[in-house]
Amino acid sequence: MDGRIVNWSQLPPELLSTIGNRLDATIDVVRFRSVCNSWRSSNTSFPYTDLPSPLKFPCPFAPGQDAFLSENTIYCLEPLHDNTNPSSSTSIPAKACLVRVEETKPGKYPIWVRRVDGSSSPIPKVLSLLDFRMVKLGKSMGLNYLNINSCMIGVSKVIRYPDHISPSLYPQDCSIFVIYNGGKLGFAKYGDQQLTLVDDQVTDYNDIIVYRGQPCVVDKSGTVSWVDYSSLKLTQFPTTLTFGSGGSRKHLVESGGELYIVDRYFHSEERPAPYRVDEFPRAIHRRSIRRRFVRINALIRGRTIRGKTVGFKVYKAGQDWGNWVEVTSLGDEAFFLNDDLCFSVRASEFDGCKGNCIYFKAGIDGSLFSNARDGLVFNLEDGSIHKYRWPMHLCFNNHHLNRRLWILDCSIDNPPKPTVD
Amino acid sequence: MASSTSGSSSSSKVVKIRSSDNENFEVEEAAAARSETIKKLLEDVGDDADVIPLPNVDAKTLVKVMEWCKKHMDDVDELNKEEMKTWDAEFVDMDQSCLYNVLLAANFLNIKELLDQLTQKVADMIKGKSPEEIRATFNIKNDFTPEEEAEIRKQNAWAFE
Repeated sequence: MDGRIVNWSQLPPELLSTIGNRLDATIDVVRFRSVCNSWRSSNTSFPYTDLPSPLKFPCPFAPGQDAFLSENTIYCLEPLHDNTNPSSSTSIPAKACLVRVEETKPGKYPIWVRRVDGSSSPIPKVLSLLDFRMVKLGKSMGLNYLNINSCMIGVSKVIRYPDHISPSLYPQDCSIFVIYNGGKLGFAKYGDQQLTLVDDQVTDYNDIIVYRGQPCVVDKSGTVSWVDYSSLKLTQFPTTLTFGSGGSRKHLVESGGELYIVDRYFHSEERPAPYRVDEFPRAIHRRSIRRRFVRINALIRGRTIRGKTVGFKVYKAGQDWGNWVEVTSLGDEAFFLNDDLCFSVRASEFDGCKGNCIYFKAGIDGSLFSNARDGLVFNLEDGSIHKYRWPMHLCFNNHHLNRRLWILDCSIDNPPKPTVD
Repeated sequence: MASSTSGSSSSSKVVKIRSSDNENFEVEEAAAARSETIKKLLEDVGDDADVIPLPNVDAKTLVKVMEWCKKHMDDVDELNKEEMKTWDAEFVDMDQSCLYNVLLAANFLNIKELLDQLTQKVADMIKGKSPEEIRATFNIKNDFTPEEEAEIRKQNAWAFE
């Protein structure tokens, strides 16, 4: 430091406005505008109105029909240090928790809000975000039919490219990449009448994310490719995963700026094990109905039917993507695998969250804020899989922004204790 | 150091620039021309240019900016892209008073690419922080009136449904 006093509130307005426009999360823009007068007045176009909300794209399954892109940003909400004062009105949440902020304006469809009954801790009537740090973990997106507040069946993953928001981003600059029909990779620009197939050779794509500003896709065998946005050409990473049998589903996770492949292993369920002789015929009947139900649901959601998840292996991209190195420990990091977004958090900041673990949902609805609360957790240390009960999510509303926020707070609900399977 | 001669190649043309605190620098023209402002001045004065005065930039900041310009003098080939990215990341990692001055200089000298990198750096320093933490990071005083403050509280408040 040379001791020169600088005054950041005196920056020329055009610079302040450029900086403000580089914030790609709504919450960050709100906070930028809450710093001081000059910062606030440099960014007057907020909330941005140029992007129609939600954006309209062609439906992957029926040319001529529309699909609407819903967008959410997932944050890690961390209380500030001086916020632990028990007399503070916003002492909840006391530890870090996961938050989803809807980036698209709520539609006309009715929403179903889960209310919390019989909770031991009081729920704050108002959550003031001024008292928290909010670190963006990623964006989760979904395609919807108009008026139906649920993801389009057959679509397993969708990303918008570019994935940021800004006043200079117009609808015609936006595109989507969609993995659908069990593994096809489709692309559509805003205004397109139908989806373009990016690659007609590979039909088993598992995951796509925006990594270092570029779409990055992985197929079932673990081949990772960059997608060039303008030519739609795929450039493969120099090396693919090399291992014996390998798992059958790949997830892409960005953690600390690095790229990871999480390889998921399933117990083969092609031939159901013979029923035990001591089972009653009724139980057999029930089980077969349930299995059929699972199969139908998996089919309509565009997933390959698989058995129970039995384990994971984690690989990290080596320098210059030259190799994939198996990771034996994630340290304090915990990975969250969801159908709509995979991310990682520092586990020690959360209540009831363990480091070196992978949290996932095994059911039909594998999105993070779904109403299915039963999850599983895989421990990298000993390879064990335990049950995990997710806390209830609570909905908060901001009328000024016309947005909703969902919070997964372990300290509000009954503390979820992992139980042995 | 009152003046510095940059560039090992003797054939490359050198221009003289002067900081606000009257220090003279000799810089290769190709590097100095990364600044649209200097480039324009050079075109205007032609070859008769003696020293180009830069009344808005002090010596310390100018050294920093020219360090960037020298590095970015030539077009980067694909091979060096990663290396350049690392260099750029280290370059923008400076204390906030230095960052402020270089940012203003890049704005005045009109060096678009450097401006992009610096504004991105500031945005990255803002991301995730609460308004109070942002103020602490950048030494900013909260100058809102109680009424404005109340309005801001309202905008940051989310009501339980």
